[in-house]
Amino acid sequence: MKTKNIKLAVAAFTILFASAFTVIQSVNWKLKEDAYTVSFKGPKVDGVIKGLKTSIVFDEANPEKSKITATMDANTVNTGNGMKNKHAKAEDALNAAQFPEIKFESTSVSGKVGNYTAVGKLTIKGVTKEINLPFTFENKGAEAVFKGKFSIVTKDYNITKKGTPDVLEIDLNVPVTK
Amino acid sequence: MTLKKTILHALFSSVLAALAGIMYNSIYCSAFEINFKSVLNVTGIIGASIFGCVLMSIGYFVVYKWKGEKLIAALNILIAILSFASIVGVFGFQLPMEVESPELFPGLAVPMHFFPALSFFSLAPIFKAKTI
Repeated sequence: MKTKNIKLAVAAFTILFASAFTVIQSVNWKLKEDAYTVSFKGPKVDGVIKGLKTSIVFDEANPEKSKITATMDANTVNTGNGMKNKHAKAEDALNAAQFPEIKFESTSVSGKVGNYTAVGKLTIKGVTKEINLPFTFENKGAEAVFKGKFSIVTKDYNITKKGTPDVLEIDLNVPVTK
Repeated sequence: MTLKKTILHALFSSVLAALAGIMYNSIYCSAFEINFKSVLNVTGIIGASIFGCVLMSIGYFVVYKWKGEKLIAALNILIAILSFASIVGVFGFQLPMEVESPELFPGLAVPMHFFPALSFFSLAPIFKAKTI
């Protein structure tokens, strides 16, 4: 009975120690605010969005322990043309006045060293859809870069403005530091 | 109209248009705290002013040699129409993505499209065939 209790205590300690080690492995990456780009591209329109705020807990060895949350400000959409910006923020496009926040929240992250996929919920204009976000992670020691590319169907997010591309390609380049 | 008058007309109206453009650029950018230097700077304003005024002077010279003063009025109207038509390009112009507040760009660039014609027409009476 005594031996069994000791074994249980050792097992519990081992589990506790291992989990503590795992927590140490997951790094809370901070965004380099002046260096990131989030761009979108479609037929006849391309641009960037600013106002990125992130909460990134990412462990490249154990990506399933990772959690990525990012928000952006729809009011910062910049196509390089004033009229197009106005159209992009309009009620039947992003409706930036009513829905200023664009949000991505991962539900799971998987993959092997270098290439990963985050499955998560993307909310645009108050509409939430599940998306797959394939990304790469370049670890440079104290700094790293997340790069990802995915596409969205604009009508899925109730973006119906005439002239809006059916599909927009989103390109992410997010440098981070520890 | 002599070639000398044509060149002087082009030169003085270029200087006038460039000065107006540079002053307007400075006032507009400081008033709205914006920076469009990557697409519209002093060199560009001077270059565009010289280009516009030289083109108008050549037009005046050619038309005058061809039909005298008869078609000058028509040429003036054509210059005004072309100046007006050129602003379409401003509204469709795509600025680099790093430039903020592109919606303020037409307010800066559109008036500038009229400065060469304005300065050229202002100085035209001085350089008329029968003066100087």
